[in-house]
Amino acid sequence: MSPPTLSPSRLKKVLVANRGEIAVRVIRACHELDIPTVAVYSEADRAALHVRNAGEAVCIGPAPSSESYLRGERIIEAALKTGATAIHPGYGFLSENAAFARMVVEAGLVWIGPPASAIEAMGSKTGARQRMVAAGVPVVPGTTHAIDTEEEALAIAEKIGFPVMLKAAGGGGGKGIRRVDLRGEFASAWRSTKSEALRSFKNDAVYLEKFVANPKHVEIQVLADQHGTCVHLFERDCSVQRRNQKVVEETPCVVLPAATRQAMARVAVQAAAAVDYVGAGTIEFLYSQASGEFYFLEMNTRLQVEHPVTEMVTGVDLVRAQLRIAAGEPLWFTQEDLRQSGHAIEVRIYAEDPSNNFAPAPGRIGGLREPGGPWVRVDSGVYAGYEVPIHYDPMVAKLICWGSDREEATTRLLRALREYRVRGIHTSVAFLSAILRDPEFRRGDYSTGFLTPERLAHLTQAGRNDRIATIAATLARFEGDTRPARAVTTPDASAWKLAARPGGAR
Amino acid sequence: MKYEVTIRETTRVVTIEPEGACYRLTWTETDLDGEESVESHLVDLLRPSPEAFHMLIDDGSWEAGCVPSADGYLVDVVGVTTSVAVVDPRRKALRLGAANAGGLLSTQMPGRVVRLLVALGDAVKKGQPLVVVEAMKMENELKSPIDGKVAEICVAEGTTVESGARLLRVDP
Repeated sequence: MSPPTLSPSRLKKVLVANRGEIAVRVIRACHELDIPTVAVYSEADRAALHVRNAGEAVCIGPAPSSESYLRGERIIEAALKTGATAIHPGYGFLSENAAFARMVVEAGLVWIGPPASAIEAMGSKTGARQRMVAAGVPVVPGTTHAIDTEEEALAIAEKIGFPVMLKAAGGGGGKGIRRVDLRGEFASAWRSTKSEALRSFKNDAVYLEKFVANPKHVEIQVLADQHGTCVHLFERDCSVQRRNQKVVEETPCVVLPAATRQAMARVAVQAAAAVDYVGAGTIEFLYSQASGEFYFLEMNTRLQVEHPVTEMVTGVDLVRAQLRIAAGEPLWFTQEDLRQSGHAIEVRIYAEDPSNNFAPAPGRIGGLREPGGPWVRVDSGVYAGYEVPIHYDPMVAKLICWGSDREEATTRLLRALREYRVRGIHTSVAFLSAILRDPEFRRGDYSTGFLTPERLAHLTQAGRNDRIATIAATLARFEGDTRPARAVTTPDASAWKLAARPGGAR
Repeated sequence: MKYEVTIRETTRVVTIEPEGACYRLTWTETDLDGEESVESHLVDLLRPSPEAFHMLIDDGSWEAGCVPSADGYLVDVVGVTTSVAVVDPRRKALRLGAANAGGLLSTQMPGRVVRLLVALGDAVKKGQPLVVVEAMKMENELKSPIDGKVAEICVAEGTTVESGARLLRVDP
């Protein structure tokens, strides 16, 4: 399935309108195609890895993303100034902002993403629901429109029955969503969802849906070119979630019957076709293991954080595909060419302290050793000596492993996590290992309710080794107190010490 | 040399002495039933870089990272980062008594004060949200630790605060 050479006409230089690991990922895909790259960065990100890796870099404003990464006009200005001919938005920030997509095209640049009309059609969750209902796609019971008043919302909630989910119509990425279990909690949940929606998305429209008990979150990756071809690249199971944020993602979903997979994929392609979709997109579903039913949740009109697992089992480079599609080329493979080979799992590594209620833990990375070996992939946005800033999402890297089956992928990922060393900040590494060792995770039938408070309490304690920590800290202090000159050990000194050990070098 | 080494609420008094090219570390460990046992370990230390500690502990091969923090080290062992306070008892007397009773509210993470929900002199109940701090796109409501009156407010809306920064004080 090796693609023909990319015609360079429309993508002379690509500006990546993002930061962190995804900017690094997109820059890599461009460089593999010999396309020069431009990074943009905020004043807080001068030292960020994407800036170091790009061919050119332009500062677009102060640290808060509202004054930099969300400033479309500055990004377009940077593209024009550097002679970039296309903009890749990554995920988050402006990636699902139809107005920005339109601005890019109006400036004479190529938008590496779906048409603004498709973003709009899927961007309003209520609008998307209405559209999907019309297209015959199954949706979760609830409202298809934003609700005006708390009284009206409460009445609907009581009609479809608690628990319900309150959702910001303009939201995404797990933000602006609240589960309400009881009538008594409704008023406060309503107010906070509305204010969070207004703050985060500048849109306080809120709708509600029935809460489906113990569902799996299963999503289908699609790719559509500009010539009317749309294929799916199978599913991803993203059911390990905490506060509606995905933590572990894998493909295939082991409990999904083949017929359901096919039906879901067919519906996904229909959904994409209903909005004349172009590019890479993901249709998210809730899948009830009890009933075998699935419901449309939303469509993400962009590249997903968890796209690597799909790449690992299909062999398709999704970012490369995005670039080719944006350049106007037809897909270089058909649906029949695509197979799921083996199993892939991704874990998201966050700068946070699991033992302190997952408090964000920004700070300087004193040392870093990333894992390696066969079928291990690290998509990282950090390096040793890098200061994880307080201003952005605390995800620092993704670790992805492939295996010939799920067991092999899991044990390989556990081995890779064991090798991962991030010094000086708290991370979720040991917590992720604990998840992968959990018997319910190993069975594969876990639902989005997997991370219960009880399980979290257990998993966040895992892997502690106070004895070794005590020894290391005491040694550090003692050497600091008694041999300040040796605080930095030179290679010579350690070689000497090695030779001086009883029994000689080993 | 003796150090008081504290992880979470547990303090161990660790004795460390050079022994040949290695170190001998000894302390008394108390288990959950209050049973005491002596831990004594011979450690062969190699530091490939200032923060990387490779230790042969009684022949077990261990690696830890040690990065200095405010009162000790952030130590990572196989993916778990632990805050370890190390105090030299001789210097302990010189330490500032930071013990602040009851109603002091501080942040556990650096961030930005988004909203102050109370004013100076307000009567508040235990568990009542007092201030909202945003860090890395997440908003966190910090609640009053006690019933009382707001006696001091150290920050304003929009203030950027460091980890451990004092935000306000509630007097009983």
